[in-house]
Amino acid sequence: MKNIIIYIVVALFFFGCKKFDESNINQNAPENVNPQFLLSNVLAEASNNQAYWGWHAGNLLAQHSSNLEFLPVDRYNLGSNEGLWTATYRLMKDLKDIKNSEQGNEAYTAVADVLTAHQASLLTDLWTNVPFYEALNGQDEGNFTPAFDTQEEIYTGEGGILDLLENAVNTLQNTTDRIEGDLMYQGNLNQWIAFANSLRVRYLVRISNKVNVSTELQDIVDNSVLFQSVMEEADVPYLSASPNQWVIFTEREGRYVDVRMSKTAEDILTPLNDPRMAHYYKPTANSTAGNEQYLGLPNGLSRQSQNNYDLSDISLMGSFLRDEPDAVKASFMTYSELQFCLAEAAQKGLISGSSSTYYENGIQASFDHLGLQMPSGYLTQMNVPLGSGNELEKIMTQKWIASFLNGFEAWFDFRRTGFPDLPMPQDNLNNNVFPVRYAYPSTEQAVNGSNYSQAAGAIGGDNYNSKGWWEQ
Amino acid sequence: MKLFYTVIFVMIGLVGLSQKTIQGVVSNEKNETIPYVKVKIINKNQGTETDENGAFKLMVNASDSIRFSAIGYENQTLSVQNSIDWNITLVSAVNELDEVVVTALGLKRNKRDLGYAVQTLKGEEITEVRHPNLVNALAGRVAGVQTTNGSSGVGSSSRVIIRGETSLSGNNQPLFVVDGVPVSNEFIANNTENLESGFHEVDYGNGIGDLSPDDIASINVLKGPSAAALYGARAAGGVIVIETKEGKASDGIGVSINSSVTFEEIAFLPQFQNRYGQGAGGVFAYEDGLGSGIGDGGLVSFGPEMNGQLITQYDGPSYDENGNPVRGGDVIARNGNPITPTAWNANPDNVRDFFQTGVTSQQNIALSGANDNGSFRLSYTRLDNQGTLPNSDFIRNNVALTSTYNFTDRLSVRTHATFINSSSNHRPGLGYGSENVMYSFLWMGRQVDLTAAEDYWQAGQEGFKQYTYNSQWLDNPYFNVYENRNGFEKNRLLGNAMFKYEISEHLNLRFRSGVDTYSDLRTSRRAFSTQRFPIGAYREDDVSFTELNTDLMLAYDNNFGEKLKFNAAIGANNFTQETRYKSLLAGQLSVPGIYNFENSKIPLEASQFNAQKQINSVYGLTGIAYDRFLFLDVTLRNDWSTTLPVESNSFAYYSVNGAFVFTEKLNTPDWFSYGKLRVSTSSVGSDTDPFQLRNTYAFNQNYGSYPLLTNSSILLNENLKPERINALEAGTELYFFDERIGLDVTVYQNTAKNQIITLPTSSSSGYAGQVINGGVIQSRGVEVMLTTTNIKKENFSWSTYVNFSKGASYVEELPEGIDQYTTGFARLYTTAENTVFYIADSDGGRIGDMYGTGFQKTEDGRIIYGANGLPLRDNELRYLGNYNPDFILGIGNQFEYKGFKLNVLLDWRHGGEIISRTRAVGSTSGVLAETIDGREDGIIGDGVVNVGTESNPIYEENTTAVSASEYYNQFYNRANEESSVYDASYLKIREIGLSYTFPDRWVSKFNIEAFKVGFIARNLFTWTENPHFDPELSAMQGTSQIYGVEDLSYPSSRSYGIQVQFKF
Repeated sequence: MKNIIIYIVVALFFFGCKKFDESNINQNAPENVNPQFLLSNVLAEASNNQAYWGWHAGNLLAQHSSNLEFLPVDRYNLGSNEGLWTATYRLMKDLKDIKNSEQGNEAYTAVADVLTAHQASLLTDLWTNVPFYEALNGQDEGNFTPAFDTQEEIYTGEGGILDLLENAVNTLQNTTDRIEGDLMYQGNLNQWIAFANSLRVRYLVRISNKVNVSTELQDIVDNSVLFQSVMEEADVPYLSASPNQWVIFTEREGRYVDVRMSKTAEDILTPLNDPRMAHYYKPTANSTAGNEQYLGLPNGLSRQSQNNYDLSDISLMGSFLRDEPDAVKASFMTYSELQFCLAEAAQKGLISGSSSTYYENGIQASFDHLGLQMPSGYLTQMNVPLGSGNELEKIMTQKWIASFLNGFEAWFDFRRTGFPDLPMPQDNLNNNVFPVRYAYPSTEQAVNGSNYSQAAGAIGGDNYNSKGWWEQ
Repeated sequence: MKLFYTVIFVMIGLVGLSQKTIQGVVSNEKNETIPYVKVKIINKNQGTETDENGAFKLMVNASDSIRFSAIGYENQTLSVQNSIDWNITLVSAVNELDEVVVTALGLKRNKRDLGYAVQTLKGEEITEVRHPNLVNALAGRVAGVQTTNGSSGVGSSSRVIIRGETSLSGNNQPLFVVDGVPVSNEFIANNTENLESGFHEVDYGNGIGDLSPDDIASINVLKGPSAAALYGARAAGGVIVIETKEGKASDGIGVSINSSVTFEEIAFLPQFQNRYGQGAGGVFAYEDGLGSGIGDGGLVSFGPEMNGQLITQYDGPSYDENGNPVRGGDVIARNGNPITPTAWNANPDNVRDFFQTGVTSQQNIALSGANDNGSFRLSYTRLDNQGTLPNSDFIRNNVALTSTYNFTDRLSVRTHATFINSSSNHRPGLGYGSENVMYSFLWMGRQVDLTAAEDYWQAGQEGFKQYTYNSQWLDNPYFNVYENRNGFEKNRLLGNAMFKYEISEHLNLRFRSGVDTYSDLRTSRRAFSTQRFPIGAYREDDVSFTELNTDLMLAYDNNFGEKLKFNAAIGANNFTQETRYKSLLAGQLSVPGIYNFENSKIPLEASQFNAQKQINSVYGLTGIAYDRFLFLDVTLRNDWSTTLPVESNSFAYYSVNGAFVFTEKLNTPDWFSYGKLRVSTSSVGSDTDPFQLRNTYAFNQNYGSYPLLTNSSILLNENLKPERINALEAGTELYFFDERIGLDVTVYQNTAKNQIITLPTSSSSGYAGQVINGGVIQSRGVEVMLTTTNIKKENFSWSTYVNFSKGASYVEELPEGIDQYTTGFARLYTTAENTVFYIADSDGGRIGDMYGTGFQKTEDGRIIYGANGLPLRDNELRYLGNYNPDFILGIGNQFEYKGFKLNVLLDWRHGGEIISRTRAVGSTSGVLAETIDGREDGIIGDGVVNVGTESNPIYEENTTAVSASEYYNQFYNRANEESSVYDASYLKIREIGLSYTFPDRWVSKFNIEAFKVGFIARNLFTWTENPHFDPELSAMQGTSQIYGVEDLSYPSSRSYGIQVQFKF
């Protein structure tokens, strides 16, 4: 009898063992994937971040729009925007995995580098010194507390933004490898080359107060492929079907009506009689057909100060931003921006060529990007043509108009050039200083404390006013 | 001992007074003899005890009174003069500590034999004041047990934690065991993140809440790892052993009916101000609730004082294009026609009146019978709850059948099966956002009269457009609860069978197998014009779960000689668990009001997750008892878990427990009835969840026809080792004055090593967290249980029990390579901006310490203000408090007078902090009572201004006045966790039960065996620092419950009602 029992005990145990080894294999998701799926993810997510944050922060900081209730950014209470920080590093990890997964495929590596450079610039331009060279090594090296690098190193160091872009261009020009999952350029590597070179122009101009970029810029203009038209610009459109619809289309009413045309936009666009005003914004509720009024609200008003305005006399944002799921194109970089960068470079003597031509191309490209007709005489009206003084201000003002909803680009330009001349929001909570960065995410304090403290010290304090390298 | 008495008796006998010998047998109500009953001559240090067969013999004087006492039975005293028959029947003690407790693996043990702390609740105690959720019956009654309730009323999750949190990562829930077989207490939440346009968290209730209290015979709480060591990995948080009721013999079929109806009233509501209505800066006019009026899309109540002046409002009269009357908020029908201004008055009870009186009916009928060959008990329980929140409910049907049968003298079987069907029409949305009606109320203008909102569609827009007071941000709360429903239906089967074969007198074989399986279908409907779902939505979440436990045990039990008792057992166990989760979402609908996937306007979004897990185990145990005063138990177990890497998936446990009943051996005074010392040590291991080893990529929603995959945000770990908890426990049980005073004190220390934890990391590392084996955490604590019988007269008695516990856990050693132990966080808002971190500082930091951002302060702690008169914040993390209590004290009093019985249970939790979103939001919006200050003249904040430089500050008193709306907006800025901290201490009158049991002589006339009526009340009063919410309620964010943070909790309720019990 006892023997039988022992047999039963043993049998029971081994019966349980049958599928024992297999039951902890996760069948819900793959351990390895083809890089094309990661590339698609990065393009969809990163482009969405551009437009999403353009609406929620970039447009407010650059004063394209103003806010009533729920976006403390407008009163310069910026917070840390940890959500974007986390999302950006996660995308950079996807990019790293693209590079790791197909060592043999140069094209994937180069394309991933272009996007890595773009994401890195976003990080350093929003938070100043950030982890870069030691970043993303949690898995490979067990480094969960990466050190922060200076903005200068991130832009100019070996393996930094400019280096990544230049190498990517060289690789793409010579490779025979192909990529898939490219929902932006459908695998057309020439367009990636143009995008990479255009980004080089953007970043060289960005650091041009600190570094003599003239030779390199001139070389790019002379010898490299750049965006030739709006057809090549780096856009990812929203789609008519969920889940790829423009976020404000699916949002509650409040998220839409909470954001208004700014007084700054009214002051800039009205004198130009600019048709883009009627695109970006709606006529006020009180205006009558045939006599549409476009009026803005000053930025950064307290609730109490808003009482001085009748919101029926303040314009909402344009209907393409609320009523259509797929009218917005999420842009990494537009052709018009490239032209304005070149106009600025030419105007400053960094490159040869006519500043005015680039400038006028840029304006035309902005209209083209939006699918609007530039009125005849637009370029010749007062305050538009170059040559009569205030050149830089004119270029930056037109660039500002064109940068609507394009991430934080217009804010970066304002921080660098001071144009357009934005008014200080009356009820700002930042001691009447224009903020220049987000605070570091508090998670960094909690989990990367000593590197955080060092970085905060290095930039002059973890507050909204510590200027980065290129804007000092 | 016997010898000692015998000698005395002989001596007394020699003295030769008018003595005689009495002899008899002591037995219980079931006619079973009771061994070792103390038979004492009152007021003399003389007596004996019954032998193995319950027999005794004693020399007495004619004038003596003899007392019979045994643990677990009521004492009985007889005078020698009046008694002839010395065959005594002792009645089981109802409220004394029972002698037999059910321990690990369903083993019934004498409590005196145990070397660890066990606390028992009997069925009667649980049903005296019935709680809809079984877990709540433990609150205040068991030392060292802490319960917290979900905030969405009856049907929501109740958490229970024994001896504080030993694990940083897990849910710390104890293992629940029904009839020796583990059952699931997990709540598998919907996969929601509560994003801007997503679904809110919904609490569908924890598993153990499915059980009916009426089917429970007893609950034994095994508190420490020692007690639980035999249960293996899942018992690290203690074990709650539940035994179901069995049929009892009676004339014919025994019928019992237990019926109660309680009414729930909201007990806690934010305290609102009722002087100023909506608007900022004292002005307001409603036009369309979208900002077209003055402040009518705004969310703050810094508007005009409410003095009955005429102002256009959302419920003011207007007319449509045909001149028919419509309301101001019928914006589409009104089409711009003017609204007649109406009186601007306070509606102090607008929120209170939205809530209703809840009704909970619990009806149980049980049939039972038994004979020599077996027994059965069939029971049906129905619970019907109408929540305090309109349209929310919870319905549960339990059918339970327990049967026992003796096939032969040697083979017996016991089976239990419960089928549970539970469902709800609507479970409230939790967390922050427009799906929680508390959000709507904390942002709603204080002037709003909600009467008009009951008719929640705009005129002519039924099904398309809701009628609400703030179309910009807020859903009409009636629309929310009646249209946007989170329903569910769950079917669950719990079953177990145990075969027992007596191989010989000393050897038996037990085979036990149990299943716990359920499927839970949750349906979420969202109507057109919902803030988060403008074009409606429909979602189904389907959870199915199956757990099987099979156990085979061979047990040996023998006595060697008079004094030595020995038992041993070996066994093996197999545990398998499978979870399948699937959700489908139609994020926009074509036709309003049709909730079906065919009605989806856009491609469906899917999410799916299946997981399984197995643990195989072998175990052995042995116990030695010597002369009824020394006891030693040793247990060993080894588990093999699929969730750990092959090379480390085997882990062993042991426990050694000893007990010494010193009153048996030491010559203690007469009043010292019983004394025991116990000590135990154990080491238990623990595994983890499935799929924690190798990373996978996660599916993202497609972009058009491009599939997207991305990294998972947590780095898994292929080198995990099992967790290990080493526990030490010592205690004593003392009874004095014939057990009228009982004291049980336990001290414990748990040292947890290699805890498997998802440690938050810098996302710049590529991951937001990594799974690691953590450092060393030590918990220490003390538990005290005191029971006293203060008065015991023939018709009146008063007894008291006190349960006290105090404990804390500290980090002893940091994980390798970590210099700052951030063990987790709670997001106070959807965005990452507002986060409370749990950081265990290596320098004496306690588990549960919370950190967040706050004000800039001077060295002497004064808040620094800017030149604009507003307080300045900085981003530095600072200590905010600890979410754990310093101690918990439960005090119960029971009074009995003839058939009347009164129970009062108080529950005191002292210490700990809670960070309140209600406070932050309600202060920003100016609806809370305390924001009434400074409305007219502005506020000069208490603090200083730096008139020097940053590096060389010179502080002067702040003298700048700012408007109240600006001040509160900045002071309670939601990124500032420091300003929203409350003390979480509370004192509650948890239960009052008053019952009357009709005397037998009355009820027997009606052929009724017993009849009892009672008045019951729960959660009657709460005293706590904050006036706005019940600090006991827990919050849920994402898929887990979080601690130390209040997240717009629903008002808790007090309930009172009647309860009737019949037995035929």
